[in-house]
Amino acid sequence: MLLIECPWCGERDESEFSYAGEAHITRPRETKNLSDEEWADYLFMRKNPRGLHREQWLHAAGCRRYFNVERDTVSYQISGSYKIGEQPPSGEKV
Amino acid sequence: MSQRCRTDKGGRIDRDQTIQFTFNGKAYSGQAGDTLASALLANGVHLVGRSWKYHRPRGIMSAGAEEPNAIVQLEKGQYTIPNARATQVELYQRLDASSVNCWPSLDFDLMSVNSFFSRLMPAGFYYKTFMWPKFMWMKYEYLIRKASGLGESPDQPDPDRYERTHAHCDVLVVGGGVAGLCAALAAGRAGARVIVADEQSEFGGLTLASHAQIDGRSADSWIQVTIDELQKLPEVTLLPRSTVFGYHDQNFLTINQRLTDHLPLTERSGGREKLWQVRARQVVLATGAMERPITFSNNDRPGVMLASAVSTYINRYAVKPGNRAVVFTNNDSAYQTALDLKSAGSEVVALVDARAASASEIANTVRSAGIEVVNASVVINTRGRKRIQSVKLMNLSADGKSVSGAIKTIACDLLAVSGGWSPVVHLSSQSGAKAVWHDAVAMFLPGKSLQAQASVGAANGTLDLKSALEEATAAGNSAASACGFNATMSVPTADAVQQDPILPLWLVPSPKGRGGNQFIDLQNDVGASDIQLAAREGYRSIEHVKRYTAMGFGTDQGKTGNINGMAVLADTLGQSIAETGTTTFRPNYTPVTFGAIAGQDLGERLFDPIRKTAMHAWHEENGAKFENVGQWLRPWYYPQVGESMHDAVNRECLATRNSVGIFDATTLGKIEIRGPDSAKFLEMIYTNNWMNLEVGKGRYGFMLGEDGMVMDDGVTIRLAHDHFFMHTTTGGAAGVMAWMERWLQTEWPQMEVFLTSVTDHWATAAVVGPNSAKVVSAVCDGIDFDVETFPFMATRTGTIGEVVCRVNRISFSGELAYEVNVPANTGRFMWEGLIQAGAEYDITPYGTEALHVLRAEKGYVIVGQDTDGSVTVDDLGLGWALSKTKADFIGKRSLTRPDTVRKDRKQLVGLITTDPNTVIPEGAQLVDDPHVPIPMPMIGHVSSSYYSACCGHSIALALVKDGHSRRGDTVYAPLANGQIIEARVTEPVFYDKEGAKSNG
Amino acid sequence: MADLFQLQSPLVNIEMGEAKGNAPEIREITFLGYLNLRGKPGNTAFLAAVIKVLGAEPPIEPNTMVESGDYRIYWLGPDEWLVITPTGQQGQVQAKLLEALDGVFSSVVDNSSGLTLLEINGKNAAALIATDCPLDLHPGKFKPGQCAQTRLAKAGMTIAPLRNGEGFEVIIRRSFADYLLLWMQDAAVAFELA
Ligand SMILES: [Zn+2]
Repeated sequence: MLLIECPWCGERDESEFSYAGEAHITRPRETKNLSDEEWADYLFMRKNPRGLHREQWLHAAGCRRYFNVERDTVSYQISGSYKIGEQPPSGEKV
Repeated sequence: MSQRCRTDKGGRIDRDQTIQFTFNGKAYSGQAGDTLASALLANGVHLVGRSWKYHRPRGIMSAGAEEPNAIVQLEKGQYTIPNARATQVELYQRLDASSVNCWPSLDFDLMSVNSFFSRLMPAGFYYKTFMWPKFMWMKYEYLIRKASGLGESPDQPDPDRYERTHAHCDVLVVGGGVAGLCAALAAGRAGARVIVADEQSEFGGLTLASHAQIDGRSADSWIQVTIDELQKLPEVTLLPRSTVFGYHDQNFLTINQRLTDHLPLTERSGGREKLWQVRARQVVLATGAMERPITFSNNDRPGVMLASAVSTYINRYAVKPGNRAVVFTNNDSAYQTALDLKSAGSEVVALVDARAASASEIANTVRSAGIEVVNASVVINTRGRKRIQSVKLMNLSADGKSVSGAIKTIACDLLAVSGGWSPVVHLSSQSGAKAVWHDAVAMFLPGKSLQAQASVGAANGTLDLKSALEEATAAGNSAASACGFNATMSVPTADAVQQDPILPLWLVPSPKGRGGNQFIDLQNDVGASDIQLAAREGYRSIEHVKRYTAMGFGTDQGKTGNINGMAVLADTLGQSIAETGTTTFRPNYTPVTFGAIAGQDLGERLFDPIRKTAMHAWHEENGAKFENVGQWLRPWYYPQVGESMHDAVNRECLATRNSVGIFDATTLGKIEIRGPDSAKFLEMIYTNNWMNLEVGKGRYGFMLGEDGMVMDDGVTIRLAHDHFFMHTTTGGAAGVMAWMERWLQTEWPQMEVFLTSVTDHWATAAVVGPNSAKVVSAVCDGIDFDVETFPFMATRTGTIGEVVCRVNRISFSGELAYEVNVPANTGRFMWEGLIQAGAEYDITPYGTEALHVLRAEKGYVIVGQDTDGSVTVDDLGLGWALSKTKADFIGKRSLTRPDTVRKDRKQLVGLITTDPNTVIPEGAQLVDDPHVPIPMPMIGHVSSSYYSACCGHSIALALVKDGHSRRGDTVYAPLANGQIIEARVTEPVFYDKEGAKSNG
Repeated sequence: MADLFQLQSPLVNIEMGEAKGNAPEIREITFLGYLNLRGKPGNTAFLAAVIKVLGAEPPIEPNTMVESGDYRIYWLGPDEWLVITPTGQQGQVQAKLLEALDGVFSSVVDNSSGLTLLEINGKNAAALIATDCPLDLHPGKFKPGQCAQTRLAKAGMTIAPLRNGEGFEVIIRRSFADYLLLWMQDAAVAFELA
């Protein structure tokens, strides 16, 4: 059971949250101009890294805000949470 | 006391409180403070079980959680507990215990014939013998289970209550031995919130059986003083009988506290166990160490025990485990056991030490006590069947690889063995710290963890009391300091003990190059030869060898044998133990009852939430049968006396179509959408147009996922220019809310839109049928119900008495229909008003089944029943709902993906069976030709299927490949029972195709 | 028709019963007004309008609540609050807020029938809730003036320590109320002995 820090509510038990997939995937603007491959890339392709991963979580049983978490998929250590639109705590640009 | 092996004095048992119990049907007595194991030993009982493969006689080996042999079944009937470790069972009055694995009896075991065939049952035996041919496996498995059957699971419901709690603390100390208590004291004195959990009934751990001094007093007196102080600290919680069985992410640990198992059955009340789910800021692991055996031929005989267990039985339980003892060791710690045996009145015939010399202080004490110390020697074999009778010794070569010299036989009835100590690194490993092998001490020590924790004392390989206290004090102080407390406790004093180094010895070399019955894992009958065979057959990874040989697969999880097994594998492969590594230490440390995990989340009421509407009690009072829809409990149908479900549904459908029906529609999801960009937002969320919707009107819409597949549907009403009221499906409500918030919060934060879920605020009654306007208008004031001025898809606000109501003219049946909404606190009032007003039209409440039939007659789909996440709006034949003018909406781009425009996609059609009374089962697969061999090419499946009383025949909706161009074709539904149902493909509308009835 | 009129709380069908032994007392405070208020805390027009109607600024500090006269305002999110009014006043407070907020990006939604409030009182109140709530309820960590949204068993709740006594107020959703009460009554058995 992870301990996740909501940027607003602070540290809360994982059971209050729901996972919302990889972070920093931006919806393309002019979708009609995209090739099938470009659209499929947005739709289906995910990094699924072994190691540092940026992912979205929803504080579902709490303040109902989405935010980003930087988590190591091997050790499950969380380096930090950050609001949508901010940069991850590791300083690695996304 | 008639316990013949009980010593006259000492121990921590209560000599005044005698306890009667039975073991394998025979009556014995013990004392309060005994475990089942110590009480049996006090009665001279060593033989307690049979091994599971060869059914060899086995005796009590340890005094704790690591016990591989003394596995017992407690009690009978509903209170029975399988696979308990006798070493951990606290004795209570009238305890009824029996051995597992003995058939028909412990003393005469039919299955022990297996031991004669042990040569034929090597490693991988089960894989090699029983995996082929496949169809025989079931039979083999039955026989194996009958032969082995580790305990019997109860066949009656568990009568006990299981409690649970979440807990938070600054410092969780695991293990209440001296190191754990010391760390807890350091943190507790500083004011930290501390939880100390120990699996035993008494705190103190192994030190309870020692002769050590702490702070100038005896260790047990220091322990008592420390416990007294901890108990007075308001922020400290002491949990005895509590096993920390799992160490999970971010210092989340799970503890199983046993509340009543130590009491006689008749005195038990309240919960049996309590599951603690603890989130700790800091964790101190003081889990101690377990003594490990040395492996030699026939090392499994009853009477072969771990040396520390012998000391524990003598000092803590006042039991003399044997009269004539041999001690076999490769390190200093067993020397104390020799002294303990002597002081208990046992004759110690020899102390056999594999080391060439031993000259530490305690070794000299042993010699001066008159005990013969035989250095450079090893036990190579034992004799005796139900109890050890003698040991054979030989000399060990200097390199430790061979034995030589004359075989010396010594008669004895007890062999106390010490192969050194293994820190209990299970929890540390579970926390993500990989255990690291240290040659100098011959131990796996806790590795570095990423979590906020420290291992102290024996758990950290620090066996010396003085050093352990130093480590524990430092860890307690620093854990509390890390939580912001000023922790400065000084170290309790103890004498340093100088010890000679251990001589690593795992498997005693065999005299003729071959030794039999050298058991590594006693519970699973894994011998050294099995591991060597696995290596010869090409297994290299310890994880694979474990699975191939089943080493460590028993209920003890290999606590005594695994390290020796790894060492034997390393030796066979010619590599170091460090290179071989350990198997993974997984939760749970010891078995946990299902009851503790389930807690109170049991039964129909509490397993999962049951959501009810404001009218629920009315439905109950009026005989409704209910069905679960998501978490909601919804009226399914309302049978009258003597009616079948079929009769009731037919009646409800006909009454609704012919006069008026009423349906509880409260469960639909409801979301208020407010803000200047609301219409713009809906343009993106739905597939159709919303900018042009008039205020006071509603519109039906589809929501797609970005993959273009139908996700949800419903009617959304415009209440003001910047104010909408959305309906979602019952099951989709929470998901749609989260979905829309996600777009607003992550992708379009500049959009000025606020969402509020009001699903629970409104109670909704759908009044449906040609007489619906008459009923609703009799109840609702302030609304003109003329069908022209209050048109389809319009909304009006009125009153019912004092209550403001909103009436929407929406229909999910093709009939003239109104949905009446009021705040749910007045839901029942509204409902009863409608029922009263409808009486003259024989208003008929109907449930979800009739709702489904009525909508299927009109071909209206239910998202999640007729769609499954792979269906597009075009597949449903509802392309009109897709805006051609909007530049974008969620999922739009996917509608032109090659897969989405494929010609042979499954498309929604109607089916009419050739036999009008046959209803195709929902989920049935459809084929073109039912006479081709199986597997038949399948062309689709039935998604909804009912008997329609209004049509007079059965109807079905189905998804069929290229279905839109297959009207008129005949298809077949071959069922599992051999029946083949013939049906014709039609359009998916069966009733009132012209829509004449929507105006009543 | 009018003779049928009655208000029914979500727990109308549950026998509340007396607390036994050391089990905490559970009491429903029925028919309070609940308004969901949304707006941007950085928008001074929004804050001014709220102050004008409720007499207090909505709390900006997460997981806190303020009391202002008869009203209580709970933080639910960075742009979302729950306003509790005395019974029957929700309609007029909503109307006043909507009027004051005219032209300001905001939302005021009546959810009065969607929620109900329980007071759980007694020395084991925290223990009862902690049976299946992952929030740290220690009096040093969760004090009067704070509030939190979390879960209780398998449903959501908003919880705040009571100002007086050893207890909490718990706001739950109507449709889950039966389930939660049955769950609490079952959990309370652990405290009924001794
Ligand atoms: Zn939050």
